[in-house]
Amino acid sequence: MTVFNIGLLALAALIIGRLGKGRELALLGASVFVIYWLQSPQQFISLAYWVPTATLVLTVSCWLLISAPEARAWNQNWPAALVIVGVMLLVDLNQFFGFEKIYMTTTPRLWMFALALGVCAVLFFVLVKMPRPLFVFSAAFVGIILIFVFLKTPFFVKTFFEFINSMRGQQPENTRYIISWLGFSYIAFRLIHTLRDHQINRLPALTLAEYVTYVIFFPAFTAGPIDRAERFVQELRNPVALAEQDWAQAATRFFIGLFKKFVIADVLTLIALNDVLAAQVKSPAWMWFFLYAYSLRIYFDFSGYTDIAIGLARIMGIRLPENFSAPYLKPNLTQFWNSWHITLTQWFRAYFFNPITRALRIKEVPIPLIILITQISTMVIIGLWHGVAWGFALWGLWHGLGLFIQNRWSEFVRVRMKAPLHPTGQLLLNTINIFLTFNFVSLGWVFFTLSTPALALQAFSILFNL
Amino acid sequence: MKTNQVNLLRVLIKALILYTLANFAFAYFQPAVGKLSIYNWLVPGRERMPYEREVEYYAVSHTIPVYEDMNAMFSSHVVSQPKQADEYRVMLVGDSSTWAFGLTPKENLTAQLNLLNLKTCDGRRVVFYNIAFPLPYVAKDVLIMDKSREYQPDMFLWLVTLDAFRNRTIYTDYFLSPYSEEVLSLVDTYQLTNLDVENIHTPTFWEQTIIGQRSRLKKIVLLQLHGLPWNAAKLDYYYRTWTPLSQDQSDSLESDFGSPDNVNFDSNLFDVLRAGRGVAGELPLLIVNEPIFIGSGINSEIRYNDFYPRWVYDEYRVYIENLTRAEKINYLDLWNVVPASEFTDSPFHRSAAGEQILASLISPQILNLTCSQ
Repeated sequence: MTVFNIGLLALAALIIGRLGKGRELALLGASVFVIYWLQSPQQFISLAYWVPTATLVLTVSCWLLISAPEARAWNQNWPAALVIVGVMLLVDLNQFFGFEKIYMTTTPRLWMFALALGVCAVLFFVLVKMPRPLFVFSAAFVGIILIFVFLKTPFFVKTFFEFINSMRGQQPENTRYIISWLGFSYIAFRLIHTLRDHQINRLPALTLAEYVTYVIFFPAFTAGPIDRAERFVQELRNPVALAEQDWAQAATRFFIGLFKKFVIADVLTLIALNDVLAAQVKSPAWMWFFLYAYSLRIYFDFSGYTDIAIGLARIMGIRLPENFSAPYLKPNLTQFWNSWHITLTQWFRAYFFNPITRALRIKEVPIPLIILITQISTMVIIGLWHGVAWGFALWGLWHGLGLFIQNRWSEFVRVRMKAPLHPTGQLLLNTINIFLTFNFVSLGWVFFTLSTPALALQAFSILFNL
Repeated sequence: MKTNQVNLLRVLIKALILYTLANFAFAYFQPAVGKLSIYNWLVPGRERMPYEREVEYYAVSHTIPVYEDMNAMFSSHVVSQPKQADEYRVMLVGDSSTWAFGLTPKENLTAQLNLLNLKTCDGRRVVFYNIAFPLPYVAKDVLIMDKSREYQPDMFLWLVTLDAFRNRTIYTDYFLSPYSEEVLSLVDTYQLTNLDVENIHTPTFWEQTIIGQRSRLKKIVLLQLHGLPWNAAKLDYYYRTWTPLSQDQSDSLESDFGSPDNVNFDSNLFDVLRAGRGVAGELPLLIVNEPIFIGSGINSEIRYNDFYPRWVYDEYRVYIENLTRAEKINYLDLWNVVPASEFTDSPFHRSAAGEQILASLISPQILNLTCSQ
């Protein structure tokens, strides 16, 4: 996203925030438009239209699965359906409008749009009419994960494109194939959350407009935070009226986010560890410097986007959850993960870590082993969420092992600690712990940012002068 | 009772006023922002001007061309360090072959000359500085020479080739436009009638504000940031693989300098040599016709290489020799001293061995000039 994109989103937020009646539909329409508008170009041009369309189809399908018949009533949902189809059609009609600066003009021909709409109508009809035994939700859950694995695994994407090429009678191209599905990671989290909470009866009844807006809410669509549906919808239904002070807070948050992302993070990008520097730099001091620069860059970039999202949402009267809380100033790894990408950690805790822990406890697995298994598996999956690659898996393993060791060490110390430390001693210990935690996290970024484990090992050998 | 309430509108209006004032102040005072540099202070100076041809390699070669701001270019260069008492400074001016595409700063002509450890007759160390910028355009060379006078040169070594005398509007727009005042002054002083300055205009007040200068300012900041990875990696250029030049040539006799029976150098930039001599002033100036690749395969009796048919290049050599003699400019024609095997990706780019040969032939002339002062 560019500053220009964000500026227009802020303008949209300002207008929508001022609306009385029709605010919810305007927000829905804006969010639907944004998923098309921000979608990056694809190797197959038409995918830039079909990928956001797939987001909408997937979202509406999930809504049909989780919604009760009364929530699906046509008389309360037709305006939302009309807005969604209307925006899709408007975007498609850009082949005639020719607004190249707004959206691509090579959109699918109208008969293809109509055909796709027809197929979707049949699909939605089947979803409405079909019975809903538990396995349907599990199948939906697995389906979303499979899409995710497909998108994040270069081998599958390559095979897919080669298949398409062969169907078209084209020679395989010597390029790296990528399907960029903007925001899918976050969409997947939200969809799985609603499917799972519906299964355990924790999800409130949501209209089509509420559900789709929750999933693709434009400020948080690309980089989070991952809100909970019940909380989000409460704010959507009862937006907080903004006092003058709230405007100032929202604007301050928004501008701080812009500064973090487009000034600090973008400047740090030039001096942050990357493949080129890992291969070129031979001095340990410089390598540490670039590694620290990377640590700061990723923080300012990500938390900057979060600030922008929170600020924009606040302008529209919606409070998004916090995602960062001074993570690099935490004295241990557990506290780091409680303050770094907080909503992601909470999501994994709710839908993976806790269920696995409960399952292992029932099987009476020894506690240390439970901790080892759950920490490593959770962190490796979080790593693979960024992409199916060795570097991300190793990054997850690094953190999983770190959390396990820290947990065991804390337990060891707690049992033996007779009395609390003197305040000065505690302060010193805290400082050392913060330093160690920051460095541990920074070293983990080596696996995360470098494209191959070999390059990561090379960087490690230079960092420690081996 | 005082409250901490913030009036957003007031904040925005104040910010706008401050920003407007800052823009006006910037345009009015025109601070030499390019002179603020981390080079030669936080990190060592670069041994050649910051340059990279392709944007996608800026981060690989840790550099960015800042041709809009010669202060920034020179401030990032080792030449902006204070001159030592026993130092005799020779500035090497030229194009990509002098800047040395495909070679490190430790291999190029400047480095080879420095390796010779030359001393002047009065015992000063002759130190060579590569201030070339990779653009075959003699007007740009003179502008750089002019600017380099701020850095206490004792001599100029200017390497030229026929291609650099072409009058190309694209280069005027690219390199000369940001220096309209200096260029127009040179044109006026030395009556450079052939230099196309039609598109050069004095920047308006608005063009000199922070907003108007944002691209230049951004590049200056980026150049400083690139200084850190550059210093760590010790690389200032993306070293590309290249295909050796073919010995065979086309049979084309075409040239931008007329036809074989009607060669015309008069409308080109040879008068810039006179400006160069004027800019050098009392300092010795040595112009070298730089070596070119001479093919020996098919059609080599028609052309020397991709750039030059024999007829035009032979005419050029005679022309420049006569011109420099008439203008009393020291001139050395070394067009054929480097064997074809020592050229790399272009008929002008030499290997380290080629640079060594050239250095050995230039150095006696340099010593002569230092001693005759």
